[in-house]
Amino acid sequence: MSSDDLIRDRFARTRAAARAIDLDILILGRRDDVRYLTGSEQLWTAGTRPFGAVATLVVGSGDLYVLSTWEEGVSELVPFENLHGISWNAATVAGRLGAVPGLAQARRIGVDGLSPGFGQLLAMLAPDAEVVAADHCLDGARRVKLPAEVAAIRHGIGVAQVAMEAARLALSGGVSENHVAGTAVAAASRHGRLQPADVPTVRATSSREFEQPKGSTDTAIHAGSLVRIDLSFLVEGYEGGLGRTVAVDLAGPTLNSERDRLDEAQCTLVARCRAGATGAEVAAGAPEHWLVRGSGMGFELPVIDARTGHEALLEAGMVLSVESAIFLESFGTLSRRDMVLVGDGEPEVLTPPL
Amino acid sequence: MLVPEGVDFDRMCRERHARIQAEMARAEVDALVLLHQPNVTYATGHPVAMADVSHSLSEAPIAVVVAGDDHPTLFGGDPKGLRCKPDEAVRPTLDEEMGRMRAQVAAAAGPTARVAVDWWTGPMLRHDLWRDGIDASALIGRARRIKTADEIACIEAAQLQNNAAMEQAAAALVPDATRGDVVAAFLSCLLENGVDTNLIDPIFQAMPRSIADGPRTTTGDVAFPTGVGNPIYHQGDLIWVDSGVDVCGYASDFGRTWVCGRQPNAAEQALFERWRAVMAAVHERIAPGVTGQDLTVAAVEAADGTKPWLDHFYLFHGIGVESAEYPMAGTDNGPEADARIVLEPGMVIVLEPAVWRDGVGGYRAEEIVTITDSGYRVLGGGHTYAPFAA
Repeated sequence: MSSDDLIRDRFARTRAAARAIDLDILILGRRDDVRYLTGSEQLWTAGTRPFGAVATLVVGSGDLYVLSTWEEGVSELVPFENLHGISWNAATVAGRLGAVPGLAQARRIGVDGLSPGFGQLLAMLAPDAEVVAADHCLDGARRVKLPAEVAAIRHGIGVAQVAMEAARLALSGGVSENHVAGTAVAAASRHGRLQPADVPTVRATSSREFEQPKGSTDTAIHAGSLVRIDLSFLVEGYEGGLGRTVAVDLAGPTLNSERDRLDEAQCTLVARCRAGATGAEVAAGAPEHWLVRGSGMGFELPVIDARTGHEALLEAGMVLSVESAIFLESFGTLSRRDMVLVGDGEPEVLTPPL
Repeated sequence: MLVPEGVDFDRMCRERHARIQAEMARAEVDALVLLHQPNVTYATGHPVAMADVSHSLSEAPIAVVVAGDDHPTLFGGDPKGLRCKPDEAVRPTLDEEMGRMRAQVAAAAGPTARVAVDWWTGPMLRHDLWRDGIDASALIGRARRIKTADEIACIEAAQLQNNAAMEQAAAALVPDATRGDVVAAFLSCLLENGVDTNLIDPIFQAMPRSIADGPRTTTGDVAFPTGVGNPIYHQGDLIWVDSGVDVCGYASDFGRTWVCGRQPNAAEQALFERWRAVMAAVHERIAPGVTGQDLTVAAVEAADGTKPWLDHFYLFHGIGVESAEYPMAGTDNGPEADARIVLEPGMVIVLEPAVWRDGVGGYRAEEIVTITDSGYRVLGGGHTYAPFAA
């Protein structure tokens, strides 16, 4: 399947989902949603951006409008005359959006976020419209992956594995966490264009507390540490990642048996990620600390943990990030995160086998 | 977090909190619920994470500021060393968790509080949370306008980190290198040095020599910043470079033009001389009380009547916890809007003129200056213009 076919398939799914909830217009501001719907790449920036109409779909006609001053990075779904160039002028922005056919008469407009300023603009441009959250509709389109999406995710995982191997090799002799993180990200970057999906994490765990923030510090990694490494990247827009714990100059029967315990816990959790399972059923097999969440063009639904997502229903074709962790008082934390493709039978672990 | 020498982090947080409180009082707002990460940074000191928007909106910390409180509350994130009340993480994309958040905000600010927000997620729209329509971004934006000495020192430190990583990138940008090789050199240096965050996918864009050879644009001007895939660089490529990195939550903005694998030829060097003339003419005018329009006029004059900046951007933009923030001059808001921008001591702006000669190409570079009582000071200046002869 060519990437053009994939883009068309995603567009068709999203448009159908928008129709199903009776939207006249769909306005998207998030980079991941925009790429999913339109195939257009927007400059990656860390964190959030102020909300704006980066992509606008007229659901009835299928016409798409995208915020871009140039045609590079914009897919064939968006004709040149439907590009809305960058503007800092509120009247220009309002004029362009207001000129989208059908927007002024719209009864229902779906959005993937909203700011007070943009809300006022919509109230002015589409006075009769009800503005509704489209996040569930987008999730409905995105949650079950097409075969080409699974292939893209596998490719992303391959890049994350390269980074993981580079991190393992760099972990020695008193180097800092920052050095290892830098080495890992550089190794991945040499493989092509990618952006961080989540914060690159190389962090010595603590025997005093379980919770450790993401990222890395200038702390030197000393012998006897359990180091959590978690790397995930967006490659062609799809997230591939994995998490492992590396023991630095630390071995012994206790650690080995604890590792076996973690692997067993992770295996149990993974095995419960089958089509038809509810979040509550997944939770019943979980270890001390864990998180199961959707993954695709970044962080997706469902989110299932000890207190949330128990009503979620898993479907064949979902890709999940599955993480288990156990806290060892004398060592620190052992954790691992894998990516899993949900099927009707045994789930397929997409990351290196357990 | 890397706190630059001479920066009193606690004082910086206290002063920002006082400014936010003053703006809240002025707007008669009882509480702020902040999801936009630079606003969270401004309110709490928590830096923007080097993560995609999907992760940021699902997992990043939320800040709540209640009028009259001494400290903001940070839900989730890493509260260590920050002047705020830590609270359990809330995922704003999940209905059940935002229900809990509503109860907490009501308990802190009262059930009828006027609450300003900067972003509504799906659950917030569905449950009609804080739909008073007060824009928290505009409120925080007013607080952010003038920078303290600590904030300026953070921006300068970020710029120096950016410069240092760009030295590595420049050395890696040789004929037959891929963009990925150059980015690897840049990012590994940043991470090694403990910079909080890389803010944008860094730009190393081989420019067309004529606008007609480049991607089509809605303005007819040259396309920048663009780029997909992993291009290979060739000897003689003219490369426009742009990046932003964060220190202590403050952004920097690096811009230069490089030539791959050779010295600039005479026509390219002449572009640089023209750019320098524009930059010098603008510098000469910068002082408190000067307007944005004064600077755009000076720039146009130095460029013999042509507009020496990109049509879809600006001659200058502000910088702070966001890499491009207000004020912006030379935009499509027009000269009247530029005339309303009045420079004041403590503002920090990024000047980014670009000159173009069709057939030769263009030269673009950026410089950060802060307005002082008597003029201006360049932040993180002195970085080389190589391979152009200064």
